[in-house]
Amino acid sequence: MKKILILFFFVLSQVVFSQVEKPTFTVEFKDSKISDVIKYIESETKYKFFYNDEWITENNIIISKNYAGASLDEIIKDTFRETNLNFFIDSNKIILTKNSIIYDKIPETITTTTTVKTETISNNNDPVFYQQYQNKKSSSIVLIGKESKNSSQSSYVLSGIIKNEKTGEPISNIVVRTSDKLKNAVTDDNGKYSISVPAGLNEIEIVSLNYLGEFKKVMMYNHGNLNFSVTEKINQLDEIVLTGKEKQNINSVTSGVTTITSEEIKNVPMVLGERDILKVATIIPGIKSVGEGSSGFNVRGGKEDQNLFLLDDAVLYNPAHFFGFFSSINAYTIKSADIYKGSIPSQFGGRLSSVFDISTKNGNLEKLTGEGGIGPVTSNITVSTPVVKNKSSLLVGGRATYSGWILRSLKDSQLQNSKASFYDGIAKYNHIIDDKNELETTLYYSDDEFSISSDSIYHYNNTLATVKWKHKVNDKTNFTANLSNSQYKFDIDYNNGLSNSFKYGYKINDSQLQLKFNTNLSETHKFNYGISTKHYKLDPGEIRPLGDQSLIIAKRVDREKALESGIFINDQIKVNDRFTVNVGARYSYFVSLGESSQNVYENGLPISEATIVETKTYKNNETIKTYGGFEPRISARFKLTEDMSIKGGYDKTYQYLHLLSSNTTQSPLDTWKTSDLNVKPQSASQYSLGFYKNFKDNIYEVSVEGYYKKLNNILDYKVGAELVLNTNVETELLQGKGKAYGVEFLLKKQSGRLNGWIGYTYSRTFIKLDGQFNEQKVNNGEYFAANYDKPHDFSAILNYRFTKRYSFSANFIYQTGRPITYPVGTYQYGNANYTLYSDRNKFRIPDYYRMDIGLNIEGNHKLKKLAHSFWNISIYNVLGRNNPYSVFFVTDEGKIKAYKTSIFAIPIPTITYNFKF
Amino acid sequence: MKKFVAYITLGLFTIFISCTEPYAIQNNTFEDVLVIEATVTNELKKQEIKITRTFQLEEKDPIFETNATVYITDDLGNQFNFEEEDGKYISEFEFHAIPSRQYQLFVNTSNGKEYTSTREKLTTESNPISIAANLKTQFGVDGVEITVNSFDPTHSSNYYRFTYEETYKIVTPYWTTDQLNLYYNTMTYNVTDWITQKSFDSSVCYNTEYSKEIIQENTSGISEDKITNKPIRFIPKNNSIIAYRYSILVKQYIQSLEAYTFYKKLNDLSSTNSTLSPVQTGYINGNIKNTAINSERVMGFFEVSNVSSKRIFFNYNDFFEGESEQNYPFECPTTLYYKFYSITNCEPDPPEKVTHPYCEFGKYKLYKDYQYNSVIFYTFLEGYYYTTRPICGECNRLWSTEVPTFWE
Repeated sequence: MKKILILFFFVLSQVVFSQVEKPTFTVEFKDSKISDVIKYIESETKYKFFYNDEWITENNIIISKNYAGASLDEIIKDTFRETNLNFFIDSNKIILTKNSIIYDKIPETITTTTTVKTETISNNNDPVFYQQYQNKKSSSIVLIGKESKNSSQSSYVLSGIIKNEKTGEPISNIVVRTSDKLKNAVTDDNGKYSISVPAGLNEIEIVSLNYLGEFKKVMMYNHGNLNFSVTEKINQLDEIVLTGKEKQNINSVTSGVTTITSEEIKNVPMVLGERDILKVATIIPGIKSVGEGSSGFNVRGGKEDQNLFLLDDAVLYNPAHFFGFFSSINAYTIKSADIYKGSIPSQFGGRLSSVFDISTKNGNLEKLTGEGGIGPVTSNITVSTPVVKNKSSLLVGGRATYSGWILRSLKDSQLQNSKASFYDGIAKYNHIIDDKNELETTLYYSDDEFSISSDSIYHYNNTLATVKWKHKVNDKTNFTANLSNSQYKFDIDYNNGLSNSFKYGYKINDSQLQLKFNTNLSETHKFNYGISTKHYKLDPGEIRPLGDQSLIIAKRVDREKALESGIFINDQIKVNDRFTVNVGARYSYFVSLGESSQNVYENGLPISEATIVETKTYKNNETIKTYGGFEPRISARFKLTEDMSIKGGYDKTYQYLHLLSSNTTQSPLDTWKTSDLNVKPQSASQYSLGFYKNFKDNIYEVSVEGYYKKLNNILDYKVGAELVLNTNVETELLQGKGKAYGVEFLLKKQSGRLNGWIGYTYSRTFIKLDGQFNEQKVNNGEYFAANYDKPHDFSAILNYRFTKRYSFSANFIYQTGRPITYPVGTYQYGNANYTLYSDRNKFRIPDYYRMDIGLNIEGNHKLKKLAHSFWNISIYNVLGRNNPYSVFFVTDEGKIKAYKTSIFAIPIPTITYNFKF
Repeated sequence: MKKFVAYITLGLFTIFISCTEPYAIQNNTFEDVLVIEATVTNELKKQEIKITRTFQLEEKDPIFETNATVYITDDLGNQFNFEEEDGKYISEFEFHAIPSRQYQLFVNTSNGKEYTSTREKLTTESNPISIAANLKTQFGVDGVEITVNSFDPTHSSNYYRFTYEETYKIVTPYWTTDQLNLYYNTMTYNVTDWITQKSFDSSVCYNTEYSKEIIQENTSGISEDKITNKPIRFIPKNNSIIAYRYSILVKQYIQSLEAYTFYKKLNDLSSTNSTLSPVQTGYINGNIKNTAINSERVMGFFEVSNVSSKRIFFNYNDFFEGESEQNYPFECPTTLYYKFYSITNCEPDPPEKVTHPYCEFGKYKLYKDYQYNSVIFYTFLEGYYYTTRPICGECNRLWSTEVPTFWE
């Protein structure tokens, strides 16, 4: 400040008073401040300035100008031109006003007398008198922009960033709206929002389920900026809601999309106290897990392999730890997950049924923060720190089990030899280069090791790396380039010291480049377009003998390579306030590449080892086969009333990568296979229709969604199929038709002491495997229930808050038991006895139901605390239901034996301590 | 707290580890299905068809379908009728399948249901096969391996199934012509014994066993329709079936693709050698259907197949020195009974505890064991009766003493 004062000096000063009231000035300002100008004028004239000091300091501008005989008006105008201050000269008083203009004429509309206007004021832009609102409840009004006398716009754009007050992180998915709810906006991934509001006074609200709401009166004089800092709701534990966007169900154009943010799932009772986004997902109507202890999801009648799991835009092949008891995604590092079970946006491709688009949090740009949880089996910690303050940050999250030492310290020798451990780590670095460029990079690794019997060790891991460059091309267009690499591999060591000890391994690796553009052309057209290409490298399996005694012959199935590309465009067309339509399309193209040898089978005969005509060999990177598919994606929303809407959609999807999985398998040995000469891509078309209605000020949300899906070339297996290490695996496969349909009901209560949701789904999935030959037929070539056909699915999550610190939650899940092929008799053939099996999936394993309860206890609410903490006590499977995970059959010495696997057949209590700093 | 954590974790991992438990197979799922095993060949013989029904999972033997009308027709209108005999249906007359003619199987069961097969043609003509027996070490075990060679220069056979019948010589380890007779006098409690001569010879028997496994080969994917040294059977050195003389008859059936596939599935489903993952289970479609109800499941395949066969013989000493370590399929323990114990009532009334050695180790005991057929006498030496298990004294109790017609 002193420095500035020193810089300020008058070189020459002469005030000339001409005539009576119009003095002229000759003065030179050099590096002067507004206050200096004011001082100068006050000292040289009888004019007095009236203003608030803050306004002057806010407008920190430097004035350097020469005046020779300039009028006072001229100097003042120059001085305040670049500021948000207006002035009004009244006799010898100069009144400065922030933003508003003091009119010396009464505007036409509020006066009955006809006045000659000296200012041109359009009718729809009556001058806004700030004082006319002063009697309203809010104490202060934020003034945005500077009013100009000749402004003619009826609305202005208010934009800004919403940040977490404590952590400084930008917050996405926060609703910014006018309190009359006519104008809405939602913050983007960077916490930015932009809302067009009418000129004049507006009441702007921030609405979020996790953050305390904000209310501001905003006087819109022009386009302007307004940032918010919001604090997390301390009592957020009672809120378990799947979407942070109130009325999103009414307003969004796509049906079948759900957003889960990690904050929102805190008090769903969880096994072993782990917060888990994917577990919560299975409670959404239409999404089913195969059972506990299974990593697979079935979305709207789709197979387990038809879900695209994206972690920061890279494919996560196995999103599960330990057979799916835990998801391999550390919930503390996740910002949100968008789950599409229908109306999949055209930017996504490669899977038929769903997209789980999971994005990680950005680190805190301002200070060090952290969060963690301590449970009985796992613990995790997430720390976020700025690297260069306000420019770049790093977020590191880690999670591990420490069950190993517990197992080792046990006396039981069988338990001592058992292993079950996993860990995962994630690091995210983001760098704001300038306001137009931002760089983000994510590294992720998850690792699992376990053994069920003492002679086998299973080991699998995911590795993932992404680099993302976000670039703002201009006000309307954003560009994102994303480069990623993802790998999944597993191996099994089976060592019993005998001749059949082996080591078996599998690996898939993909590298992807994606270029995306967003162009908000106008209110009516919002475009989204781009290209992507992905290169697959896949080692389908290798077995090697293990130990000296082993007589296993080493075998390796040849590597598969392929390129999958896509070009996509989507236009969100707002026809009018009620009707919005999303028109999108994707063209996907798949090339299966050498080096490879592929069997050619006799035309017209079923593919089997018995019908191989020749084996073709392909050179490295030589094209084996290409496939392409046009994938239109259309969805539309029509608002019947403000709180009721109807939505419909159609989408077509292609899938070039298939997961081979025997239906009763107990291990994560499922392997991916690319389409090739003999395996065709799968495709699906889905028609969906939904009604959405909110009641009682959006406290209650009701929706009914229905879908019908047709599937083509769905992969299934011949009777007797063996998939592991099969060099001619196509001979075991059948590709057939599928159809799925269902109705999903959801009732949600968003707030209040008691909140939660109840969902029910009735759905069926059928597959038809037919052909000219017996071996191509399953169940006589008729439609039969798919492995994951579970008609009735009911789920409820309820929370009750006793006090601010105590809340109780419970969930209940019921599912029809899944179909199974059952042994139904024995017969003798060729001197030996064989087991007769029922038609495929004719029987069902017992129904699944489970209830979990949990109690959340918040730490005290003192503001000055080292860490904010809460305890979670939960009991998983409180009814102790012995739910079968699978029933399978083993033929041993001509005798068939049945086994049932169940997991958590007794109530499992857990206590977890969570903290945040 | 730590204790609590440990408690939970212990509980948890116990469940993780012992999460698999036997599961009672429900009986109410039993499906009664007709099973038809019919392979008609180009050999001129009484053709055989086996018709059974499925049986409960825990049972061992099938139920034979009786009183069915079974016949085969050809496209010239000939009808070959089958008659029920020993749980099989055997053609009234000898006949053989003729190339390029179409055959169809008809089975009308006693419950009024009619089943027919698809029309099947005799598969391509079979070429003579050759078989060989060679020394081989498999999984560290010495033994004899039987292999087959076959060649079809026209490359039209492609799909093969092999069966074998093995016949072997059995020598009774404790054969004597002496037969011990015992008589128990209930008044004197005395056991009288006398020896007679057996009127039959049960020193040597022959047994024939049929292959149970499904052995198949397919040459469609290779340039020559040639089978070279395909293993059919491996007999470990210490298997008693090769202790003396052994003969194997290998039959090669040329199959149609459908028949080949059917048998292959059957085999795939029953094999348990996969440690890694279970196979896809399900119902295997055959080519026989209920004429009225298309969806009724019928297990089986009607196959018209060209057969060629070959038999070889070998002795133990053709491959190994000395005598076989295991020359009889049963353990043969011997039990001795003392002849000269004095008389004691071993069956007092009311019964008391009788511990006299006469009752436990003497003639009386021998008499009782004879009654229960648990021992057989083979020699008398120094006051002792030497006995063994009956099967170790007379092989004809299990096998036939008749020399097979083909034996050489």
